[in-house]
Amino acid sequence: MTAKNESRRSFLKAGLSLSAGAALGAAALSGRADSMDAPSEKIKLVTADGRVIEVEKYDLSIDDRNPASIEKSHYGLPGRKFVMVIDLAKCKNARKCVEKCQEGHYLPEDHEWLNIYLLKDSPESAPYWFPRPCFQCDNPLCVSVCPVGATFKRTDGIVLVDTDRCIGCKFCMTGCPYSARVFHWHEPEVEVPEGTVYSPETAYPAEEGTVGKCVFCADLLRKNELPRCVVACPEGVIYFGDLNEDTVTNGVETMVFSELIKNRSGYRYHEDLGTRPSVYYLPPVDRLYEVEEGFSLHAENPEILERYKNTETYKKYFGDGH
Amino acid sequence: MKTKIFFIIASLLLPFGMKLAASEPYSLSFYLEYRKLAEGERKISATAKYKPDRFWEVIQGMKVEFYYLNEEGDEVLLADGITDEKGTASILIDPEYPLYRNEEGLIEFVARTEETEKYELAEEWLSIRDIYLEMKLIEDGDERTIELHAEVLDENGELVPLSDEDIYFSVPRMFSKLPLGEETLEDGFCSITFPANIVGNAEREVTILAEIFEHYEFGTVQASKVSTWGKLGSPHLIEHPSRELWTPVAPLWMIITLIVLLVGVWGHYIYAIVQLVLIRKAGTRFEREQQV
Amino acid sequence: MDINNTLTIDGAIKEFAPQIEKTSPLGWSWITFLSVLVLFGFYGLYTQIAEGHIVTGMRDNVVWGIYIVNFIFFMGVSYAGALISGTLHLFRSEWRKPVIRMAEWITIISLLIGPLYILLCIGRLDKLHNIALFGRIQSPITWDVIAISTDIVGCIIFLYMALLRDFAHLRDYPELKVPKWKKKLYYYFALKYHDTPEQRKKLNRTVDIMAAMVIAIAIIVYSVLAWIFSVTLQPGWHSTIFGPYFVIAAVYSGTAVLIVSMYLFRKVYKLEHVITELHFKNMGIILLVLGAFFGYFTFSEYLTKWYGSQKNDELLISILFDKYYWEFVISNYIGVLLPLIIIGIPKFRTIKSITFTSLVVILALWLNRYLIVVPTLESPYLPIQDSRSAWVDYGGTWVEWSLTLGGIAGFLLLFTLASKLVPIVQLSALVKKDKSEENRKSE
Repeated sequence: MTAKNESRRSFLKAGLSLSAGAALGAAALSGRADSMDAPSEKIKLVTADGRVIEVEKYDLSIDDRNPASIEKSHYGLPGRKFVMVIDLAKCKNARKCVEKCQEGHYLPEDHEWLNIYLLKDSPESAPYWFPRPCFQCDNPLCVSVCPVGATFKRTDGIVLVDTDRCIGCKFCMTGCPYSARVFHWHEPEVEVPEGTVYSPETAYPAEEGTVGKCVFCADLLRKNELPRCVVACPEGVIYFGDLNEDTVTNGVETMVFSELIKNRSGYRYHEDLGTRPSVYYLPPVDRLYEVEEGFSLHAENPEILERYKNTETYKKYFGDGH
Repeated sequence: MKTKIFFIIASLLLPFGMKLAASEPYSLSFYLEYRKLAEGERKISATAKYKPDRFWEVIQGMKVEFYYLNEEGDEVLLADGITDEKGTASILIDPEYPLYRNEEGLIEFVARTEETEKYELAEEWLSIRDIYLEMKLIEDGDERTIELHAEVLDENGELVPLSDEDIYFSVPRMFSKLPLGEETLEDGFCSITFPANIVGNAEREVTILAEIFEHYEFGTVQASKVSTWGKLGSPHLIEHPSRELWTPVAPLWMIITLIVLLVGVWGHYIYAIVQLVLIRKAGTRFEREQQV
Repeated sequence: MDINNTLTIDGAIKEFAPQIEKTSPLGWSWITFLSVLVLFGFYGLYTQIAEGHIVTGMRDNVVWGIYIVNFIFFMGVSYAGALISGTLHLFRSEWRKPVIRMAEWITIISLLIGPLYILLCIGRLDKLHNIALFGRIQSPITWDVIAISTDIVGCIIFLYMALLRDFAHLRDYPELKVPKWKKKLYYYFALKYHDTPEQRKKLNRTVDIMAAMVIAIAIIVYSVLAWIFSVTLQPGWHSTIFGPYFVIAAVYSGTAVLIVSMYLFRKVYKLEHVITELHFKNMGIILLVLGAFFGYFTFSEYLTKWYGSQKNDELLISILFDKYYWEFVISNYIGVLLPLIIIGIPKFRTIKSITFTSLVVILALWLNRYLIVVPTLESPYLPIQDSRSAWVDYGGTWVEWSLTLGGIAGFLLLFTLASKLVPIVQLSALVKKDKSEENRKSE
C-alpha cells in the first residue's frame, strides 16, 4: 500500500515531465511537447539500420526558444488563453514566489512584481495572505490609457510592456486599480547575463524610467514551462494553465479548471471594477496554516515584517508598542 | 569510540582535504532513466551531478556515451549525447533497431561519461524487459471506455499477458498530465471510464495516455491515442479584438470626434492667419498709395 | 475712466514709454534674482536627469506628485487670459481694457511653463517622440498633448492680434528710446497695420472669432486634463464632475493671479490712474462668483463621497481629514469662505483686501490640486502593504521644490520681460479716438 502510494506520488510529480512520446501524441492537441528537456534543441536518434541522426526534440524552431523579439512578443501563443488560480487557503507568506520572480526576471530588489498582501475584509472576518501578480485583465485599463501603445494585450491574454517604447509617463500605474505596476525609479542595479537581448517576454535587461510588471513568465510559457512563482511555491498555492484546455496545475497536482472553480467557489478580485482579470482566487477556507505563520517565517527579516506594520493582525501579534 | 576519534581527525583534516579536492576530480552522481514511448521508440536519459560544496549541482555540456551489450557481451556504441542545463543527456532508439536480448530476455544498456581533469569517470547499467501496451477506445452510447492490453516478453522470448502492474491514465496538457485514474492490470487487461468533463480542441480531440511509471524492470512505458471524446469548451480567444479602448485601433466615434474638433479649431486658426496675411497685404497697398 | 477721454495715442505712448525704455536698478536686481531661481530649477532638472526619478519623492504608490500639481496649477492660471479676456472681449465690457493685456500674457506664459511639469513626470524624455510616432488616440495623454498644443497656438494668435495695434502705434512713434532691434521688431510685427477701414474690419472680425475659439479650447483643455484623472478607476478621481470642477477651479485661480498681477504692476509702473479701484472691485466680484461655484463643486464632490461612504471613498475622506487636515481646511474652507466674506461684504472690499484674498485663493487652489492628486494615490484599492516602508510616504524633495520655485520664478521673469517688450496696458484701448471700437459698436 505504501509502495503504491509512493509510486503514485511520483507519478503525479512526473505529471510535469511529459515524455516526448506522449508529446508526439499530444502534438495533435497542443502542437508542443516535453517540458522536461526543453532547453537543448536536438536529440540523437539511432535509426533501424544503426545510423545516428539528429532530430528536433519538438516541432518548435530554435528561434522559439530564444527570448522572443519585440515584434514577436506582440502575438500570443496560438490557441492559448492563460489563467491562474491562487488558493488562499494554502498561502502562508513564505515568499518563495517573490524570491524566484525577482531572481528569474533579474529585478532590482526595490522593484517587485509580485506582492503579498495581508487582507482582512471586514472587522470581524479573518485575515489572510493574498499574493497579487498582474491580473492580465481582459479589459486592461493600463493598456487603454497608454499614450504610445508600449503596453499591449496579446491573443493569449497576457499584457506585456515594451520597454523600448515606454516613455515612462506612469499613466498605466494610476490606471491599474490593483497597484500591479512598478517603476524603475533609478538605473536597475542588477547583473544580467552578458549578451542578453531585451524581450518584452523576459522584461530584462530593464531600463531606468520605464514601467515593469508581472508578465506571467511569458518566456517560459513559450517553452511549455510553468511560471517561476508556480514552481517556486512550496505549498502549491498557485495553479496555472490554459483556459482552452480547462486544466490548471501547480506543478504537482493537475485539475480541471472549471471544476476547481465550481467546487471551491473561485472568484476574481474586485469583479465590480469590470477589468475581467485572468487570475482567480479560491477563498481561504479550511486553511492549512495560521495566518501568523506569515510573520514567524520572517522573524529574522524585520524589513519584511515592517511592510505589514499597519495591519491589525500585525499589531495584535507583536503588540501595539512594537 | 573509534569512529568518534576518526571523525575528529577527519574534521581536523578537512581544510587540507578541501584544498586537495580542488585539484582532485569530483566523483559524480550518475543515473539513467528509460522510457518506451507510445510509438515504440526507446529513450534513454542520463543525468550527471557533482557536489562542489554542500549541494548537488547539475553538470552541463558533459558528453555521455550510450552502449548496449551484444551476444558476446561486448559494448556496442549506440550514440552519444551532451548534458543540457538540467544535467541530462538523452538518445532515442528507433523501434526497429535490432537490440540483443540476453538469455533472461533482458536488453542491457550501459552509459558512461568521459573522464576529465575535473570529473571522475561514471557509468551505469540498465537491464530492461520489453513490454507492449495497446490502447483501445470503446464507445458504447454515452459510455466511453479506455481499454488497455499489456503483454510482456518473457525469458523464452514469448509474449505473455502482464498482471498486477499499475497503469496510469491521463490526458497530456500544456504543462502537465491531467490524471484520469489508475487501474491494476489483470491478466494483461484493465479499463477505465473516460469522464465527461474533459475539454478537447475545436475538433473535440483529446489525447489519452496510459503508462507504467518507472518500473524497476520495464522502465517507463507509454501508450497513447487521440480520441474525439472531448467536451467542446467555449474558446477563450482574443484573435480579432473589436475596437475596444485597449485595442490598437480607437473606437470610430472617437476618431470622428477628434477629427471634427481638430478640423473645426485649426480651420479657424488658418482663417485667422490668412486674415493677418491679408491685413499685411492691405497695409502694403496702403503704404504704396501713401507714397504716390 | 476719464483718462480715456483725455488721452491721445501719442500721449498714451509718452506716458507708458518709460516702462519699456528703461529698467530701474531695482528692476535689474529683480530680474537677476528670478534668473538665479530659474537656474536653481535647472540644477534640480540636471540632478533629476542625471540620477533618475529616484531623486524625487515619487515612488510606486504615489507615482505623481508636486510636478503634476504644478502642471494642473499653471494650466489653471492660463485661464486668466482665455476666459477672462475672451469673455470680457465678447461681452464688450469697457472696463476690461487696462487689464486685458495682463490676462493674455498670464495665459501665454503659464501655458508655456505648465506643460514643462508634465515633462518632468516622464521617465524617458529621450523617447518622447514616440507620442508622435505611435500616439494612440484612446489615451487621455494623447488628447492632452493635442489639446494643449492647440491651445498654445490659439492663445498666441489671439494675443498677437491684441498686440498688433500697439505694435503699429509703437512703430509710428519716432521718439521712442529703445534699442534698434526692438524697433525692428515692432516694425516687423506691426504687419504694416495702418488702421485702414479694411484692415480694421478684418482684424476686429478675426479677434472676435479667436476670442470664441480660445474660450472653447480652454474649456476642452482643462476638461481633458481632468479626464486624465477621472477616466481611471481610482476612488478619488473617478468622478463625473471632474471636468467642470477643474474648469471652474482653473478660472478661479487664473482670476486670482490676474488680480495679484494687477496690484503689482499698478504699484511698480504707477498705474493707479489706469487700473483703479473699480477694476479691483469688478475682478473681485468675478472672483467671488467663481469662488462660490468652486465651493459648490467641492462640496458636492466630497459630500457624495462622504455620504455614500464606499470603503475606499471613506478611506480617502479619512486621510483628508486626518493626515491632510490643515491643507484641507486652507484649500476647501478658507479658499472658499474668505472671498465670500471679504469681497461679499461691500465694506471690506478694498484693493488691498481683494489682493490679499487672491493670494490666499492662489495658495488654496494649489493645495486643492495637491489634495486631489496625492491622497488618492495614498488610498488605492489594495492597501499599501508589502512595499518598502521608506517608499510609502510621499513628500516633495528639494529637486521637486527647486523645479517648482524655478517654474514660479520663470513665470514672473517672463512676465516682467513681457512688460518690457510692450506696455502692460493696451495703448490702443486707452484712447477714446480709437475709431475701431466706435465703428464696431455701430455695426
